[in-house]
Amino acid sequence: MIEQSQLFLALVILFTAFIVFGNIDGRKRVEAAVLQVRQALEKNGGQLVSVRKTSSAALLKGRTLGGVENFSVMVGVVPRVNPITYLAAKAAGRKDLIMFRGALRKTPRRNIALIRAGSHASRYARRWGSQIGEIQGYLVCGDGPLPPLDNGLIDELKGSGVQLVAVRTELPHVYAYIDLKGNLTTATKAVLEAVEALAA
Amino acid sequence: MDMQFELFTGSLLSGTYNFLTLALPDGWTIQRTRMPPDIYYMGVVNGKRWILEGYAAYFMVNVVTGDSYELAIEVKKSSRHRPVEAGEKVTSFAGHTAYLSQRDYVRGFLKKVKVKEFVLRTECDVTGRRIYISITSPYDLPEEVLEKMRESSCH
Repeated sequence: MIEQSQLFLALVILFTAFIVFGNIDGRKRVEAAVLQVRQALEKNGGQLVSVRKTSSAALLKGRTLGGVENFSVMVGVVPRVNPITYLAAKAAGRKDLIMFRGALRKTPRRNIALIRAGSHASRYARRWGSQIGEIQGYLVCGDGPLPPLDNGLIDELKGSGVQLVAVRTELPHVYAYIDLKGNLTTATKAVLEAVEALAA
Repeated sequence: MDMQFELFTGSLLSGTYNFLTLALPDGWTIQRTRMPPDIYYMGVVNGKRWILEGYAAYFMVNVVTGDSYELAIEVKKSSRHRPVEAGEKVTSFAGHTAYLSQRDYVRGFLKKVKVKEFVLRTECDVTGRRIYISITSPYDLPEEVLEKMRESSCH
């Protein structure tokens, strides 16, 4: 029979182990993700200015990526430091994700977002516009009449891990959420093409 | 397009009182910190409710680059005996003469980080307040932010 004090000690050891190994594991995962993102951006002609890393996130800043003038990429991995919060995050559907924000040279004329149906972002589709339509598994959200979109563009987004791509009239003009598990080079290319089409 | 942020606080009992309205360029925002504001004196001047003595901390964030700056606002009652401390640069803030000073220092226990601190001091003779705005961050503060901040309002 385990005594209460032994159980308490075991829990303390378990949580300490999670903190130590969760931090080491987090740093490794962030490092790997940053390398992937860096390669994807550079292959698409992006110029990085700085990179900051923690055990659960990284912020990459850069200049000029296609038509995007100034951008930042927030890489977020689900931390394994605390088993309870890790399980809660997984249960809530949180994934390792990249959040791309940028400014365009020319301010877009409308607010419009393409959101993968069924994704975490689709729960908040209403935030991106009052008019919501659907094309091939992507929600199209905007404030005015929705423009006709090329099916090839949607296919390309679908093939990559892009969860959301949006252009707005306010800064940041561009938002994109990309799943970290997909091919980031293809996803970055698809995002840039989508931004060009949506901002036109 | 510029952004105006009303920095205020209050309670159900006393209602809301303003520190000031801060003007920032497009693409910047103000976010709350976990630290609640400290308020010592409030008053009504020209029909508007102002915090006459208090302190509040916020984050000033560039929404494109993700750079975050610590923003601290401190207001004190004006003193006839002690003039506002001069700074390295004379500028203006909400129509008043303001003094801007900058210093670099290192902070952190094990991991030392070099930070830049900008302090803007001004005195609002309408509300009888001395206003200190400090912006601290490891990143450079773009000149356009300081330029736009001149259009803020404190009375």
